[in-house]
Amino acid sequence: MSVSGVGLRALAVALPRWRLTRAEWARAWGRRPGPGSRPVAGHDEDSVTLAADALDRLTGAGGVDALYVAGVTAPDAERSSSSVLCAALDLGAGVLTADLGGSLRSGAAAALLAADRVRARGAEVLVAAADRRDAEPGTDLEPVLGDAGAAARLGPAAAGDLAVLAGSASSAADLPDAWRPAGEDAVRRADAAFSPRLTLGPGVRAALERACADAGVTPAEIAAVAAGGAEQRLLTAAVEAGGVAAAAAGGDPRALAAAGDCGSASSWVALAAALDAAAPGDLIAQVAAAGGGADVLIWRAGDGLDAWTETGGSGLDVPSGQEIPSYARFLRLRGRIGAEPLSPYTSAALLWREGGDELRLAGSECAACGWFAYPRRPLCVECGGRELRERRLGRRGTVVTWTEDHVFPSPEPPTIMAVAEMEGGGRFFGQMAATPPGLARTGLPVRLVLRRLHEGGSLGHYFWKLLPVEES
Amino acid sequence: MSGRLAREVAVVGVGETRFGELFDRGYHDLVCEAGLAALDDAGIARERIEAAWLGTATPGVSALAGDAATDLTEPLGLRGIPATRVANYCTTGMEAVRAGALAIASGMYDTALVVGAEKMRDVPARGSLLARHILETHPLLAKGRTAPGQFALLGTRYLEEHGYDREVLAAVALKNHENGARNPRAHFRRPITEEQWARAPMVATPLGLYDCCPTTDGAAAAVLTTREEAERLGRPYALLTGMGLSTHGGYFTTQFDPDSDFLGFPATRGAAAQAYAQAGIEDPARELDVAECHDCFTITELVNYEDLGLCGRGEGGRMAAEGRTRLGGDIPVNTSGGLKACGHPIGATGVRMVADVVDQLLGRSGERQVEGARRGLCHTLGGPGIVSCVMVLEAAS
Repeated sequence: MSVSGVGLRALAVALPRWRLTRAEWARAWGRRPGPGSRPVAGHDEDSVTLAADALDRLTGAGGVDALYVAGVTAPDAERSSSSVLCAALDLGAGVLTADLGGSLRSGAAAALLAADRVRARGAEVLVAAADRRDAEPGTDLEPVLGDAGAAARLGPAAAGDLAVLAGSASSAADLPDAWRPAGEDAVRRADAAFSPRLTLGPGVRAALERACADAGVTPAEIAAVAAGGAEQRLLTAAVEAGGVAAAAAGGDPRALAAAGDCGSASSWVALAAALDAAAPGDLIAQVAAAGGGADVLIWRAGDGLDAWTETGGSGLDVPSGQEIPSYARFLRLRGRIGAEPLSPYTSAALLWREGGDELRLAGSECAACGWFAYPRRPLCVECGGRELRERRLGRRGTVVTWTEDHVFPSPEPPTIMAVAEMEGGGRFFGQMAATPPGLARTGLPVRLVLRRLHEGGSLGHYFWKLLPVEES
Repeated sequence: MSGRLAREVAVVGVGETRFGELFDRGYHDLVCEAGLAALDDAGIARERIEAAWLGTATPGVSALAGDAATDLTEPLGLRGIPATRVANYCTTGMEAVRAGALAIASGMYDTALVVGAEKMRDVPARGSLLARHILETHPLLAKGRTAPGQFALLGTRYLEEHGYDREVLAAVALKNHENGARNPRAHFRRPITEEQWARAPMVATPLGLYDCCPTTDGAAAAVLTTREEAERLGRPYALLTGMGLSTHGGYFTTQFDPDSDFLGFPATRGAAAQAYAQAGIEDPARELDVAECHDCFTITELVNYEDLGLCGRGEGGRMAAEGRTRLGGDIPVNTSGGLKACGHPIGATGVRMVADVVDQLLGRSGERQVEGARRGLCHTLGGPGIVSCVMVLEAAS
């Protein structure tokens, strides 16, 4: 199949519920307070759940040929984040699932690989990039980093796309500006004056020039630069040097303000912000730059922008999130101050046998009488029918009853448990996610989100939790 | 199905240990003390016991003590007789009584010993039932559950549906603490004030600390025999005239069941219907003189009133608030102090209830005596309300 171009069908950003204000961070450390806040993943969120939240926001995740998941903070080594997501979102067992990591550029690299697969197969491909980022407590980096996920759907260019990929280029150079020793979770940075000038600057400039050449445009035609990350100032200087107009190179400050330096997801968050302000035909340079080089994707905004705007765009303008009451609570959320130790029971065999269906929300429907049950049953309880079809539990529902449980050990007490009646029939009973005390009530609209339930046997267990639906 | 016992079954002896944090007593000590007390009460020697049943729900908490019925026969030195350990969540104790009663009624045995025992405080309170949800059971569906949390789901619905304030729960807590203060074997022997109840920390909304039963050690025993044998022994005894057990749903799925209304327990209603039919009871509120019911949490006692037919749907709260279930009320409930004040050593509780009701029917309840009690009820509820046992006992003659 001949594919003339690669289109960006859909794009979504997901931020976790919690926020640490830079004022609270400064109060704790006796520093000068900065503006705004950084998004903070809760104890039950990691790069897998942030990616799941972003993928959930894409309209229609099904019917894809591959899922590429990028990030440098995958919770487990030698276990595929993309396969967990493929199962939870029920994408089908036949899709290619691949995990990219090792560099903050992996989010952009995933898009470049996805574009190649779209061209080669004429297929639609999902890309997700997410990171949960930590720095040493008290360092300048700590309030600047962020946790976020982004997801995109790419396919053969078509009417209604948000943008079309006009060109791309990469540059690689091993110069140490940022790194994280294996087994540690805090980011290290080299001399702030040395690394930008010698590593990122030249790399970005070279990649940008070649990407523009690939697209058949000049840097001066770039309407906006979508570059995430803490090195924004440096990137700006580099692209300006490459011939991009100063106004365009500045990028959209909302991306950094809302999501912080969220690692592999940051250039996608910046692209989402740039699309909010773009007009069809505008050229946007998505720039991912970090230790080891730079990737640049030149997007030409498409006629899908109207729909993008109508459905709320990136959503970065909408104030969201819940302030963490204190820096101490932040440390506990991050697992840096011990909570009650837990080593929940698990069984790999049981998880495979039952947990897989439960994770896919696979219930059973009686072929004879239509009686539905989740979790699935071996027999229809209503009529005794033995022929059962698989039907998934709905993802949205309404709280039937609930409790704030102060007994169950949690880094975010109380644990709120709720029963919800789900759309399409059936109920779900389980924990609520990121719900402050006092919010739960009978009749509350909720939806199911993927969360990290616990680490029994040092294995991350993913399951669904009920999240209040924000009604604006 | 006849739905009734083929031979009449009598309770000729009961015995209990003190309930509490019995750090200085082992599981075998408790079984032995309760078992011997029941044998002495019946006035029979060990050698008369032909078969035995042991009820223990969570042997894992105490070095597997109670995992098999040899933990009954070994300490009591019963050699060679058949003995079986049973478990059925929090109805475990009554399940042991039920097994013994069925055996007597079958005609195979004439005298049986049943013991319920649980040694929960060999580990901190958080190491027993809470740990079960975390360290055992389903890797996904169990996590986040606690016992109070599962019953609190009813509390939320019940208060909203029937328009009660949370304070309605206090009536149950105050009553059962007041009764427990009069029970020398209870875990808690102090009355509490409504202010204490209100000030207590929240456990699982709307349940506070005084809405929850404690974690407790204890054992109780009963000697069962035929009516003829009881007559021959020539001592006071009670007859088991109704016995029902009902299961409804499953531990991990009952909350997912769209038919659950979180206002009561079908298992209790099913067990009560069976027991009442056998005992010929048509209007339990009038025909019962005393009742022990499963007040693991205060909300549970309120819905029990309704499920057991002691009042109409939604009237449980009013019944408690008006004092109709206190000593001297229309039908005193949990004159022992209930699970709330006695504590709830799981396997022991059902047998303890039988012992307490037998004491009432035989006029042996001291300060807690319900004058002229002739017919009493015992009720336990297991899991998140998915299995229930109800027994009706009557004074002989």
